[in-house]
Amino acid sequence: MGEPVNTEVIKERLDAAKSARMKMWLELCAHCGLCAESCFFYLAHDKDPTYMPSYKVIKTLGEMYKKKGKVSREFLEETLDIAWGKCTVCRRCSQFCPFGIDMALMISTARGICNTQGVVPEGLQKAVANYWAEGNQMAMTKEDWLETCTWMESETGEEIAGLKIPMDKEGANIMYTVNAREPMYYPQDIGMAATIFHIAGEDWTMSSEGWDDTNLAMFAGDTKCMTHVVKQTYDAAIRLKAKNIAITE
Amino acid sequence: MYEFIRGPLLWVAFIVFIAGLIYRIAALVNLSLKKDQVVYDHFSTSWALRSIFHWLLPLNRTVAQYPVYSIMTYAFHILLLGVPIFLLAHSVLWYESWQISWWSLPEDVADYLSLLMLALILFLIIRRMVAPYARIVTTAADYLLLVVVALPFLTGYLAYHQWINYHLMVILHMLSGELMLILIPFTKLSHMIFFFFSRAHIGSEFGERRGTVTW
Amino acid sequence: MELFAKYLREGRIKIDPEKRIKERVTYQDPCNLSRSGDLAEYGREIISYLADDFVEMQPNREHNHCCGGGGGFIPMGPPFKRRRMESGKVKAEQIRATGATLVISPCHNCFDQIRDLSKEYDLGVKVKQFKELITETMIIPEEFQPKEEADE
Ligand code: HEM
Ligand code: SF4
Ligand code: SF4
Repeated sequence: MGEPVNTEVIKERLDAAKSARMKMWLELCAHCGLCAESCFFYLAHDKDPTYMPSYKVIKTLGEMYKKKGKVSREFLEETLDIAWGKCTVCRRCSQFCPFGIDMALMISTARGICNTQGVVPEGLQKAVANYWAEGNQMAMTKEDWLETCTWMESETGEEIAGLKIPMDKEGANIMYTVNAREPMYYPQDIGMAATIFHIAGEDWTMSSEGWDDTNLAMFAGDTKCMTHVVKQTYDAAIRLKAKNIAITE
Repeated sequence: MYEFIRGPLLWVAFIVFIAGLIYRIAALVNLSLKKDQVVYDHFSTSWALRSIFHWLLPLNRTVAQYPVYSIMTYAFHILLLGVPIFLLAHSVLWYESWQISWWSLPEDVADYLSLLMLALILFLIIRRMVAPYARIVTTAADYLLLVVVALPFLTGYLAYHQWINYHLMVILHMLSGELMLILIPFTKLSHMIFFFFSRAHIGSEFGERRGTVTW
Repeated sequence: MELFAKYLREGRIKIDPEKRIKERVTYQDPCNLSRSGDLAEYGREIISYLADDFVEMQPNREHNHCCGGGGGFIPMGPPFKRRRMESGKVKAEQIRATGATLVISPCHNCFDQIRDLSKEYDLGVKVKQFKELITETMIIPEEFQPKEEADE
């Protein structure tokens, strides 16, 4: 709070994002209001118009473009409140706009710009730091991860004969990845997946690195970290010469 | 005065309209080649056409959600394009200028349609003031553009009935029509072209890339 | 998901008819699978193997509403919880309207969100993922039965 805003950087990001699509969308909106009903935030708040999609875009990204990036920190805080607190980037609105304006993408762009100024919800900021540190959103260490898998292997193995959780096996048909919440809070999930793969006779493996398939950095608007996370998983798949990547539920 | 507006100024308006649109399209396509590679990667003609088709005709969920408004805007757009082209008085001008002619609306029908059009525009203006979800995103420009669109119809109607000074009305009528043409490429009215681009994009984005529909 | 559907279709995994789910179930389409992916039908296919009484939410598939936990909402944690619950009202009503007592969702965000919503709005629904349901209902072939009778 209180730190000055680097309007240069914002301007740069705005210009970079100003593709032909973006330009067209900014101009095209007929301000007709037809996207209102598509958004569950609007519906859940008794049709309070400040929750409707195009208003949220105009108030955040629209405003940034209008001011050519010269915005205040208060403005960015407000944008945080809207872009994270009043939109889940679910994209439903773009299915209902007559022009098919991709408002979720625009909100994401606004998030990315807040991010350059460190204006990000705390929980997501932590997740981003965790991705950098341990490669997953929960900052679970490699040892903990491997231990959890072994533990699940032995526990599930009691019920299903011959069950194995093959780690870092090369050339498997499927490389299975999970949501880091699973080993953290619901380790049985891994056991269940193992059961299904095992009984179906699948040739599968899990990686000791790049096993978190969530990408909260994308939601945080941090493009650098986002790429890092995706790359980790693909690197793992390439390293293990896996033929497919399967993602958990 | 009349001669000038009917002659050179009309030409100017048409040229600005056509050249303006071509320029806007060229500029955007050019920019998109540099910055929107992702769009081309996923472009699908069939999804694009389906997306345009479902929204040009009332075959989508939004229309079903707002039936009254949809009927009104469909009527608005059809009259907006139809009346000027098929009006008898205009036909005469088309013929005088280029010796082309086609079927034209009977005069009294056109007369009623103009009134209907004015009523529709009034409805659109009132809706913008009354419906909270429309009001909150409406800007002064939105009202102004509706007025700009209304003016040719209003002055044309008045001129036809010769209620107020006929000559003045005809001049205003042509001026406002020309103003509208000139504004199309540079305001949200450009949607008459960009509608097709933007629908083609979102249709491909959801359809080709993800197999889901946007209507 | 696609994989599970394939296993079931090819009979690599068989569901015990005795254990099929009897209560009424509904399916939450995760935005990233059903709207931004084309996995909506696989969900239905798997359910057709698992459950007898399946009721769709309205609207459904790619037009389904977001559960309200997506876009980073869940990990944004407690400061945003109140809001998450308020915005989930739409989803809660959708679920209530189906009369289901079990919601299946193959997304961890939806899972957590709907579980929280059930408490908040007193929906009395359970949330489960396919993994859990499949392991509960499938036939475990002879050769995979534990060798020595493990005492429970
Ligand atoms: C031929 C292609 C055209 C298409 C496909 C088209 C489509 C649309 C759509 C989808 C909307 C937004 C939703 C709505 O308000 O119903 C709209 C609104 C509008 N259009 Fe068009 N349009 C076309 C041509 C034109 C032209 C030529 C003009 C005027 C010069 C025009 C003037 C307007 C105005 C003023 C609105 C806003 C209505 C309001 O204020 O509520 N349109 N159009
Ligand atoms: S993307 Fe955001 S604004 Fe659009 S419908 Fe979803 S939550 Fe609402
Ligand atoms: S439906 Fe589309 S054109 Fe209409 S207000 Fe919403 S974003 Fe703008």
